[in-house]
Amino acid sequence: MKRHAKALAGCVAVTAAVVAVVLGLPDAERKAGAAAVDDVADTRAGASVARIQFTEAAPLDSDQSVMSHRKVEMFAEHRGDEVSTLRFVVTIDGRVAEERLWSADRPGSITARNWDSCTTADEPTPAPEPDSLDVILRGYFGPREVPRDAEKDAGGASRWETPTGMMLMAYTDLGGPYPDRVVEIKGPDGSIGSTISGTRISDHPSLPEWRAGWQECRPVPGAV
Amino acid sequence: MKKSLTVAAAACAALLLGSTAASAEAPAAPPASAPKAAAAPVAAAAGCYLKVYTPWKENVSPTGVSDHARGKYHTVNNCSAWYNTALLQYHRWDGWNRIAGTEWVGNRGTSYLQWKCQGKGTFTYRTKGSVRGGSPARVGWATSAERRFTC
Repeated sequence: MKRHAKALAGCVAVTAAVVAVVLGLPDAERKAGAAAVDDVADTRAGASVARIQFTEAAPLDSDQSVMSHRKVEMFAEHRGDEVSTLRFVVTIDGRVAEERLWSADRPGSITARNWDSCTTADEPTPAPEPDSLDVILRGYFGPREVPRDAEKDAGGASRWETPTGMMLMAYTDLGGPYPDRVVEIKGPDGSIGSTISGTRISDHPSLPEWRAGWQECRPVPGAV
Repeated sequence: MKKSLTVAAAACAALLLGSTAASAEAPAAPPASAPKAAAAPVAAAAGCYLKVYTPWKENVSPTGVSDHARGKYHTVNNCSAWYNTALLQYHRWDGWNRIAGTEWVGNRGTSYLQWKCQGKGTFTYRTKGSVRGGSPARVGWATSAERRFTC
C-alpha cells in the first residue's frame, strides 16, 4: 500500500527520474514492461543494484587521539527510486568489520554480523527507513539542493552548514554531480566527529551475499 | 577535561555541556517527562559500577530554539579512583556514531548531562558510558536504551 502510494506521488517520480539519470539506470518504461511480463511474480526481476561507497574518518571512541578510517559500502537493490534490499559492508583500516542487511520485507530491523566480535544482532532500524535511493543519499550526503536557510561557510558558496538535531552538518560541494560532496559531522561544540569523503556511486551486477567464512569467525582480542 | 565543560558543584555533581544558559543551580531532578523506566545498563570494572540513562528531550521554549537533550549518569560503588566517561551517540543505518563534543568525564555521584539542540532534525540517540582504571587496567562500558526525538 505504502509503496504504491509513493509510486503514484508525482514528486517521488521526478526524484526517481533524477536519481536514475545520475546512476545511469535503464529508463522506467523498460522496467515497467519487464515487470508486466514477469507478472510481478518475482520482485527481484527487473531490479538493479547500485553500489554507494564512501570513506568516513573518525576518532576511536576508546581513544580519540587515534583516527579510524571506515569504508562504508552499500549495495541497494532497487527499481527506480524504490529500494527493496540494502546491504552494508563496513571495512575498518582494510579489514571487514561488519556486514548489515536491511530488507523491505522486514523494514523494522537491520541484521548485523560483526566480524570483530563474531556476533550477530537484530537492531531496530533508525528512522527513516532506507526504502528509497533519495532517502539514503539525503541521509548521508544531505539534500540535493542547498537549502535556502543554510548558513554559508567561509570558503565560498560551495561550503554550507545546516544545524540538524544535536549535530552541525557541514557540506562542501566538490563540483561534480550530486552527491560529490565532503560532509563533516560536527558536535554541539563545533568539533568534528567524523568526515565523509570519497563518495562513489556505480552500477553493480548483483546484490552480494553475506561474506563467506562466518562459521570460522574468531573474535579479535579486545573487540567490543 | 574539555574546556567547554562547566562543572556545577551542586549536591550531586552536575554538569552542563555547551549550554549558554548553564548555571550552577539549574540541574535539579529531571522533569516529569523524563521517563523513570529509562534506567540503566550497568558498566562495571572491578568494583566501580555506573548506570547510564536513556537520553531525553527537554523543551525549553515554544520556538524550540533553546531545546536540549538531557542525560543522566550514576555511579554505584566506590568509583573515585576510576576514570568514567559518558557521551551521546546517534543511530545511522550503518551503526552507532559518537557525537563529538558531548563527552562528560567524572568519577562520582549522580550527574545530569545537557546538550543544546543545534537545529531542526530528528535522530535516534543513546548514551554510552565507560569505566576505566585499576591495576591491572580494566575497562567496562555500557549503552543506554535508545530514544528518538526532534530538535
